[in-house]
Amino acid sequence: MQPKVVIKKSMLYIVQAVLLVIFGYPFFLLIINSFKSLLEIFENPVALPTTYSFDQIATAFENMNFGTTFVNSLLITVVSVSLILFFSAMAAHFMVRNDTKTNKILFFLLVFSMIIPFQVVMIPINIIYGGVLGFFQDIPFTILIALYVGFGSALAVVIYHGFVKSIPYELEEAAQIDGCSRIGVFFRIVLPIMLPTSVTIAILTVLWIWNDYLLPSLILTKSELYTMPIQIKVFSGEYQNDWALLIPAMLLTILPVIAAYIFGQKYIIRGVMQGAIK
Amino acid sequence: MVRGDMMQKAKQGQLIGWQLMFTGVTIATFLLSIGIPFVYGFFLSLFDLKSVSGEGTFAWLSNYGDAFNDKAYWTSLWITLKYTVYTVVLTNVLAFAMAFLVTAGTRGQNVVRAAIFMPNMIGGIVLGYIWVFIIGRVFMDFGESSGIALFQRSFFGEPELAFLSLVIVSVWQQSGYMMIVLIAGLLNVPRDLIEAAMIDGAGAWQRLRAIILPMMVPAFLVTLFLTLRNSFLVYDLNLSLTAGDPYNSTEFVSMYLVNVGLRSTGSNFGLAQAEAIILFVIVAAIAWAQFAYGKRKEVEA
Repeated sequence: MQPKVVIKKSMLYIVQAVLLVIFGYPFFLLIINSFKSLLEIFENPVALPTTYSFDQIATAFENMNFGTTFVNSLLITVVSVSLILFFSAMAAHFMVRNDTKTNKILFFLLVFSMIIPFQVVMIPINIIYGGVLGFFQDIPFTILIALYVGFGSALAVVIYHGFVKSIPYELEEAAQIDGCSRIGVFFRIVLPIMLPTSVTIAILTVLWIWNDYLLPSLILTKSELYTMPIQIKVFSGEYQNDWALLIPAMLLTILPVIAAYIFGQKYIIRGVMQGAIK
Repeated sequence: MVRGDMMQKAKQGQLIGWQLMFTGVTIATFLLSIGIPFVYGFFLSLFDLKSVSGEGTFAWLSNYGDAFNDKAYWTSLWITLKYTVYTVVLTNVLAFAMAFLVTAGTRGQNVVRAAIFMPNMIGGIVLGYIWVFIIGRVFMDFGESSGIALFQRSFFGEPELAFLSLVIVSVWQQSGYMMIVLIAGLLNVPRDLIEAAMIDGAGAWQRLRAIILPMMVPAFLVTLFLTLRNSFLVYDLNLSLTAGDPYNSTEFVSMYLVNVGLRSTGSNFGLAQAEAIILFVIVAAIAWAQFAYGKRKEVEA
């Protein structure tokens, strides 16, 4: 190899190592400080712990009501995302195959809605469903999930819409001639072909709903209903600067996400790439 | 004739049935989340409204007049704009540079890529608190041991430094996502085009300017749209990192609207809604300008 190439290569490695530190070090600090006492954290926040104690993690786990909070987040995310995928796929397929005026208007409205900031509908939502109808008190999870389905449909329908156009109609026609009903065509032919697109949409939607804070914080005001982001917000208010509790609580919060990331990293990055192109 | 009409009607009825079955839920939830609140929001902005029960007095357009004279609102919009400019520029430049770096073909580049993307897996609330710890504790500690004056100052106590913290953490958070989008764009640039340019003797800079950048315009339009939107409407990170402090100097427009439109008692919700609608008009104008620009570029290409 020429010396010039060697220098260029090693420069590349050095810069990449620096990037690895910049993006990885905060998480590393979170891990090592989870095992330390408050005194140790204050003495030296970057030193490795002298003894590895799980006390702080256990206390945080209990105080933040980890089990309930985690299940709440999981339930809301899984149900919302499943509904978004299912109904958006149905709608997009129907809209492509029936190019009527109604469907054109509907598609336009969905695209248009993507530029509406949440802050514009926030106060009306709070007044209509919270103040006037009392849904936030009576059916908190149901209204939250219904709202998520509404907010998530636009992107999902637009992505599915683009995909369905690429499915040859002859395929569906052939199935219909063979005696497959309209619903049968959708479930047996279209839905399976849509699987990769569904994975892309699912990833984008899960990332959004799992981490969303503002909307659920309006609706889920009782502690047994909290999701992970709300719990961390409340926790940080209760234990201001008690880093020996807050840090393990944050570690616990991101652990499931990191686990999912390590597991499905390839799909997640591919999902983001494909979601952006469309 | 009559029979034909009936057939027609029956067919139409059937189509409406299918329409409802396939798109009914989407239409209903869309109306619930966006349609009804959006329209009702215009209506609300015409009222002087003091409680969430929805009762108020009709006030014509006076809320809009008040909004234009509301100094706190325009200050928060102005600092949001400033923050958006810094964040959008830095994020896109960094993301582009990193997209190049991690597609150069070195071993282990996938690990680096995955690490850079990682902050996007975690929400703004948690990331904000992680950085409160790093900036508030680790920076301090580093300042004491190294003697560098900058790190001995209180980042969250001084308006400029608190603002800087928000920009840094936002860039750190978003650039990984944008990097992935730009990699997708980079992979779309045909290799033989670049090789042909190399044979013709084009240097690295020329290749970048004449081939790579023009071919990547669509990808940049996506990252520009996403970073603009994320930055202009940022809330979670703002709340957890600075909570608007010190002295409301980092209270961006979303937080401002939440504070006057939801949290505080005694504020006029109609005014807050009018201010939210002005925000929408600004966002829509930016989106439209970008869309028009994108269309023009597409035609040129």
